[in-house]
Amino acid sequence: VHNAASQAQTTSATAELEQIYREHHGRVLRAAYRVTGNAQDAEDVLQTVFLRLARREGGSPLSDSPGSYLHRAAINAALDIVRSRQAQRSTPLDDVAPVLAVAADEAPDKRQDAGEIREQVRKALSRLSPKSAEIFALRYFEGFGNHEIARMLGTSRSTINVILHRTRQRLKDEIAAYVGEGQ
Amino acid sequence: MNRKEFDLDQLLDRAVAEIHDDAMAPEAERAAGDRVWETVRREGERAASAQPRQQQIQSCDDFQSLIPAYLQGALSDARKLLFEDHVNECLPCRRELKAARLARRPAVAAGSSAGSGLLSRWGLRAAAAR
Repeated sequence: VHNAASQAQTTSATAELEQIYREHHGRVLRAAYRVTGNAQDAEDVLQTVFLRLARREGGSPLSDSPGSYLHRAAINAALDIVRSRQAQRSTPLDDVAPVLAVAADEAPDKRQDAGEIREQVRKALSRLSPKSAEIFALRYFEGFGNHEIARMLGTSRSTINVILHRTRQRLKDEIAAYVGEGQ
Repeated sequence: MNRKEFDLDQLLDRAVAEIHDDAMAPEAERAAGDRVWETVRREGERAASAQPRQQQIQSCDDFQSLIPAYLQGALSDARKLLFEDHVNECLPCRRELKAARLARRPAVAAGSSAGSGLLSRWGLRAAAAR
C-alpha cells in the first residue's frame, strides 16, 4: 500500500510541477536570455530556477503573484551567471570607480557600437549591487512599472526611484568610460 | 543636461531597449523548454518519493491530496480503487471530490489563480529572494 501511495503522491506532485512549469517556464527563459544575452546561459537559469522548485527548497508561503515571483528568481539567477563569468575573466573590480574590462583606447573600433554597448551594460549591471541590478533589470529589461517593482520587493516607490536614478548614472559612467568620454 | 549627458542617456536607452527586445528563436526556446522539463521532472519525482511522510495514506487529508491526480487519471489502478472505495464510504471526501470536479474547469480557465494556489503549496520564497 505504501509503495502504491508513494507512487500516487509522486504522480500528483509531478502533475503540479508540470502545470507550474507549463505556465511559467517561457517567461523565466526569456527574462534569463535578456539578462545573459546567451541561450545556453538562459537554459541553465531555467533549469536552476525549476530544480529549486522541484526540490521544494525554500518553504515560506508564496506571495499572491507567482509569475512575478518566478520572474525575480530568473533575473537573480541570470545575474549570478553573468557575475560568475565576470569573476572568471577579470580581476576584482574597484567598487567605487567605473572600471571596464576593455578601455576605449584599446578598442577604438568599438566606439558607440550599439551591440557592444549593450554587452557592456549587461556586464556593468552584474558588477552593481544585486538589489540595484535586479531593480534595473525589472524596470528596463522586463518593463515593470516602478510601483509594481516596489510592491514586488516590499519597498517604497521613492526607494525604487532613487535606486534607478543612481543605477542609470552609474551605467552612464560605465558607457562614458567605454566610449572614451569619461572622467 | 549638457550634450555629453544627453548622448550618454541616449546610448543607455538604446542599449536597454535592445536588451528588452532581445529574444531567442522560438524553436530554440521550445527545445530548451523540453530539455529542461525532462531534468526537472526527474528531480521532482525523486524529491517527491524521498519524502516519507507524504508516502502514506493515513487520513482523509491524504486521500483528498490525491484528488487532482485522480481527476487527471494519473493514479495507478490500485490507488484508484483504494481512493474510490474510500470516497464511497466517506462523505467529507466525497464532497471534496465533487467540489474539485466543479472547480476544475473554472480553475483551468483562470490560469494564474490556479497557479498561485499550486505555487503556494510548493513554496518558493527562497527561489526568488536570493
